[in-house]
Amino acid sequence: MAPGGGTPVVMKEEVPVFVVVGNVNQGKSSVVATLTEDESVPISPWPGTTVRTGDYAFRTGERILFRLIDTPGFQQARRVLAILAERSKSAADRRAAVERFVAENRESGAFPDEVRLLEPIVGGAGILYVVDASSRFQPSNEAEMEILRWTGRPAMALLNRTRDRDYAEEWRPVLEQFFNVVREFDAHRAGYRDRRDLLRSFREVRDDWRPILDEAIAALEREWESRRHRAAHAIAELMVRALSHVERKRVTVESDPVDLKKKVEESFRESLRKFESAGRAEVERLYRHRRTKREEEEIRLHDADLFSEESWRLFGLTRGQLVQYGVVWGTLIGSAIDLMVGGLSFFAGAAIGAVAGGLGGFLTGTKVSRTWSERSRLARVLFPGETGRYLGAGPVTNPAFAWMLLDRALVHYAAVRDRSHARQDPLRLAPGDGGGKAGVVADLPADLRGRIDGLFRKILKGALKGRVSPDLTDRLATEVEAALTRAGASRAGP
Amino acid sequence: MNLGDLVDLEWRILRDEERSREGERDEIVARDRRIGHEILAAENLDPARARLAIEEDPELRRRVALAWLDRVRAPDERTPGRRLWAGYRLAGWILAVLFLFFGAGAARAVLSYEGENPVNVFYFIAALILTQVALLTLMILFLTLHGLFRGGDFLGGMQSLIVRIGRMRFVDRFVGGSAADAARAVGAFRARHSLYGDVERWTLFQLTQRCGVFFNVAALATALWLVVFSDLAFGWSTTLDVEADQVHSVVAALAAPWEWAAPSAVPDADLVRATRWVRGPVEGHYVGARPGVEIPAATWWRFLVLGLFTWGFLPRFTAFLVGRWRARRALRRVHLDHVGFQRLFERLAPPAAAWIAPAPESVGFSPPPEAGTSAAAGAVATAGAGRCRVLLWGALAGRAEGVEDRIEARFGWPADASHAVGGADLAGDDRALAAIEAAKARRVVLVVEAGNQPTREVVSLLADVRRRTPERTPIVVALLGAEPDEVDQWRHRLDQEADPWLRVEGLPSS
Repeated sequence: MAPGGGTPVVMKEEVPVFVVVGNVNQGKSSVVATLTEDESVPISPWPGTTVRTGDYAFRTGERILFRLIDTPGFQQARRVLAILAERSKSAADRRAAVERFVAENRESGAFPDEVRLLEPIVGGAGILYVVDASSRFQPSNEAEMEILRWTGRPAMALLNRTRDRDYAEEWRPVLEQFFNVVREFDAHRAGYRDRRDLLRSFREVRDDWRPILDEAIAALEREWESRRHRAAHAIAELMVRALSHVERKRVTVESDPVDLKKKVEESFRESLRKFESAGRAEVERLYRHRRTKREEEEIRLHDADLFSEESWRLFGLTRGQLVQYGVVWGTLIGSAIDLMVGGLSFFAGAAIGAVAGGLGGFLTGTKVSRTWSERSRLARVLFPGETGRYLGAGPVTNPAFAWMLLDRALVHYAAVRDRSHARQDPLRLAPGDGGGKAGVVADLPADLRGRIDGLFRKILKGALKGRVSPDLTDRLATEVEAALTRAGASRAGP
Repeated sequence: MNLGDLVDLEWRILRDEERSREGERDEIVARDRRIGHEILAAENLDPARARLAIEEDPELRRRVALAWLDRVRAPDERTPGRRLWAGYRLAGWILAVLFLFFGAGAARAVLSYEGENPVNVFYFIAALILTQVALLTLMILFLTLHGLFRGGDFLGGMQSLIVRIGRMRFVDRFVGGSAADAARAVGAFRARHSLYGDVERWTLFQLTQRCGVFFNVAALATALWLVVFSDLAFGWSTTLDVEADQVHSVVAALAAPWEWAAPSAVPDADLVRATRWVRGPVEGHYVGARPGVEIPAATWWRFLVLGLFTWGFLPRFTAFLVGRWRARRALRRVHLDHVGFQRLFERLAPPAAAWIAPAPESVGFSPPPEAGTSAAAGAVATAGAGRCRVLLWGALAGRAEGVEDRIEARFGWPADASHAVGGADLAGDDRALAAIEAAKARRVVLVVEAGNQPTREVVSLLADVRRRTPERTPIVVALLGAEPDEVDQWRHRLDQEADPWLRVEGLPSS
């Protein structure tokens, strides 16, 4: 009796289990890999790759919501059906005939594939029958479906495709005779929506599984949103690092300026490559594409308008910092003189000291660094920092470059998000569109582009000053998430 | 044809298959078509009938294969087969020299005489005669019960040694070539172990027996040299409690083969008794010798030499000759008809292009008397031999129009009959198999539509076909309308069946 009286509520502990079955090489494992987002599911073009069942569980926290079982394919369906037919007198004993068949042949090894795939079915699992619609219907397929029908378990059929041939219209009328639910599902092209819709179809197979499958779908949708949020942050971090990066190489008397400039730019490009790579890897990790190999065009720097200056550092300080320190020390020394004369100078000493200290920091630092710091151990001990002249590249000054980086990131995101885990080819990204706002970003609404543009300019300005405000990363992440939501599957590439 | 040629044939066929898979198929086909024209012209063969003739005549197959090899293999090309053969011959000579030394050394050791104690004939008999008798017995026992007659890999180690010798740098100066190629060629050859096992085994057998021959020749020569150019004394000596009569029985038994022809080479009981040598505190002496009576040493050395000749040299030489004869016979009997050769001969002598027409009477046409041949004369193959049985898998049986024509155009085999297999009715498979067995089908083509998979059912059917057809019957799985990777998938699976006459080919769907 439930608390408070009324009809007792029976809690269903049973977890929906679906067994993926079919002939060999129909794409069963590809369907499983796509649904479970698991690249490690063994898939190969050679038939018979799956030799044992694989159990994949969908869980939230510690709770398993449903399971999917990958199986080896039917290989001797006609013979098995003939054996079952010999042992069954009517429809009433068909299920028992299948159960006896499994029990008898479990040890004998005579029909290993059929035993492995029927075992979970006779144990109560639902059936997901996969056929390859690029192959024609065969009598052995009919034998398979008949065997499955004899188990009496709830079942649905999936029309997969492994090639460009299409015999779906030949299959449909046949499948509809055996299964209530028949869906098309191309495992290699299925994206998030296709996966979600397929899970929704599972609900139709058995009524009492609906609540728990609804819960699973809701969990899946929440997880999807969470991934998008984290991907946006990864992209925003990548952008800020790339846009504020400065690369320096020391200038010596022997340096060839042209060669040095090339080296600096190459180092800058290499650093950008690393930032992008780290960002890409993070997005791929979020969408469980850890093993995917990526092919992407190299980033082009000619639009970056890299701010480049020949700068120097003294005692680890920039010229500006030296001027500041000069002003401070000059003011202190001047103030001391003012005090010595009892304030009669009316703080002129402090003012003169500030100006003299600032000018000294600005004008004389170079000579001091050359004559003193390079030769003097005392200076190196007192001022342990870099000294000398440097050639720097970065930060980026052209907002168009920032848009290009963002465009590449959005293209990558869409390709990864919609990529099936059954695919084993490399992820090939569309060539970069170069500078400007062409590409995916061109499809963003004007107000969103405006906000992002404003953030880019702030980041670039801060980078020039040597300091980008931390909250810009979070603000950019918010806008990027809005852009990710809008990035359509049509621009995602193959 | 020698072993090296056989290895080169397998290696070339393997390489051509790899190159075909890598996209050079057209080039290979063009090359072999050109070579085929030359060979058929040299053999004076009608191209329309060449294919069938090659399938039916093993001797012609051998000539065509060797002619092809001569054309694809440059005269000075350092091929794996040539390296292997050179390695084999070099190994043979090295071993021969080694065993010459061993034989000479052994004889020298057992016939050592410094003037104090006579040569103990027991040494000689034990080391050079009885040992060889024991080895001979073991060899006969082994050959009879296991080893060479039933196959086995006991000579695999020797073969590996030969391949290693063949890879050595100084061999390169003779023939040379790439070690990797040699290894692959040997691998390809050994993959056909069931076909070439006899060739391998008997070739290596004669090599090992040659070592024994050289050993005995050297031992005999050394013994005779010592007899002629030094003064030897003989006796027998042992710590064991053995009577002279017992020793005489053993000696007489060993001398039985030549006693009738050379009685002077058989020590009698008196000699045996007289030549027992015993060591004393100061010096040794003959125990049974009579004072003043000279002991004839000649009888002993004749006995020892003839014993070595009879029990050492002769059996080894005979074994060597038998091995040589068997190796040559095995080479002559190599059929050259497995899948690789079938594809090669198809390229060399493809089915002639021709119209396949109905007989005129079937369309109500009576040709004028002077027409001579019928409209079907241009057909590729004659009735009887050259025909095939077709098995149509699954639903294909219901839509097989034109399939038989495509089989004939592709393989040059007209179909005798077609049977449905793989359908809903399992009994249909049994009926088809029974029909094939009753017809003693010489060729079988299983046609499978693209998209079907090589399941256990299909593989089991192919095994049944193999059991019910004569040995070496070509069985072709023809994949109708399949893409190249589908053909590869089937080949990958069916290669595991290790059937040299089973192959997978694509068949165009239109």
